[in-house]
Amino acid sequence: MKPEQASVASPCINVCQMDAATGLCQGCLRTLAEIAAWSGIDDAEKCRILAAVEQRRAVHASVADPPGNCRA
Amino acid sequence: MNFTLPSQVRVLERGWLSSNNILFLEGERATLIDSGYVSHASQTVALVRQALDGRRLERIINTHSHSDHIGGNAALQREFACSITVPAGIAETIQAWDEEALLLTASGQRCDPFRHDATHLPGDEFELGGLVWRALHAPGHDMDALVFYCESRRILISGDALWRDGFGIQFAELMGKAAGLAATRTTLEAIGRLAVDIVIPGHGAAFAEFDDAMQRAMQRLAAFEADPLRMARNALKACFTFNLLELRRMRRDQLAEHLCGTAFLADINTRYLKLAPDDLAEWLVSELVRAGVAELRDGDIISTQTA
Repeated sequence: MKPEQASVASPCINVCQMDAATGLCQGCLRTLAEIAAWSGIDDAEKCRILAAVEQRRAVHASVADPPGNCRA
Repeated sequence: MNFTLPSQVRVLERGWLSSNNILFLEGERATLIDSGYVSHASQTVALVRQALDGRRLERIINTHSHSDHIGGNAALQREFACSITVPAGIAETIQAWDEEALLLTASGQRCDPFRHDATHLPGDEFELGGLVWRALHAPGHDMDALVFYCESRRILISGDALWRDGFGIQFAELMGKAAGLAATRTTLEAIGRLAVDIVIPGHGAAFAEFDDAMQRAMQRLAAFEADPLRMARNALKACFTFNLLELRRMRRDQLAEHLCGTAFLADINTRYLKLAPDDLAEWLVSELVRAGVAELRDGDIISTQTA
């Protein structure tokens, strides 16, 4: 049994390549600042970042929804 | 979060292909613990530069010598001219760049060579981020691994000796090179005796549920002690899943050959599973699909963790 995820999970999918054109990671679509800050921010801020990632993903016309517990 | 790390400690949480990179800010300077996997090195350099915010990276310290913890050392050293400190037990291996001993060729992993400048012995005390830390020998997953403990703040940097749920592959035990499982027991028991409020693991988020993590780890250890075949199966799955994180996809019809040609995987099968090549491949694919870490599509095995 897995431990309870009390925190919002990191969206890292092990691609870890920054896209020079967009300034976003090609895998998780976060900025460098967002990735670097992730471990030190609270769940509300993580959800804000994941929401921003969804917007960016929509722009890039991807179908994948990020997993997580930001939704009710 | 239900805990706060000291402000000078910055955990760069990565994934599973790269270890976490833990940065300690020390005025105008900084020290980094563990540097991720080689294929992520340029992002690691960029992340570290971002977090340094103008400071000088003076030093890299490694918990152990697996590819996902030392893979960014060479690039970071080229970029920042920092020194590199490795556990004393692997100094000769690093000096000779012994790819066998580093489990590179054997497990299908890669790493850029580097030269180390210093070593830590178990028991060494040193400063990180203005706090005093002690290196503790943590053999098991890696027989020369160290964990770093800050008594004043009750923080443990645990590498792959202890995660939120489990610990790293038991390479030494499975390859018959050392009494790795017995060492893991000794290590976990020693860690369990420490007063710990926060664990910064090699992978996954930092956490405060130390007792719970210890309980899970001891249960997993007991399960492996009782059933070495289960340990072998888990290791084979974990090691190949790691390969697949890097490759992202592989032709299904190439899997049997990959498994035969990757020494650690072939060795585990010979010693423990004893399956014919095609049966091994079939078993592995069905396990990975069942676990949700891979899918089969159009003749390809695709890592679901990279897409």
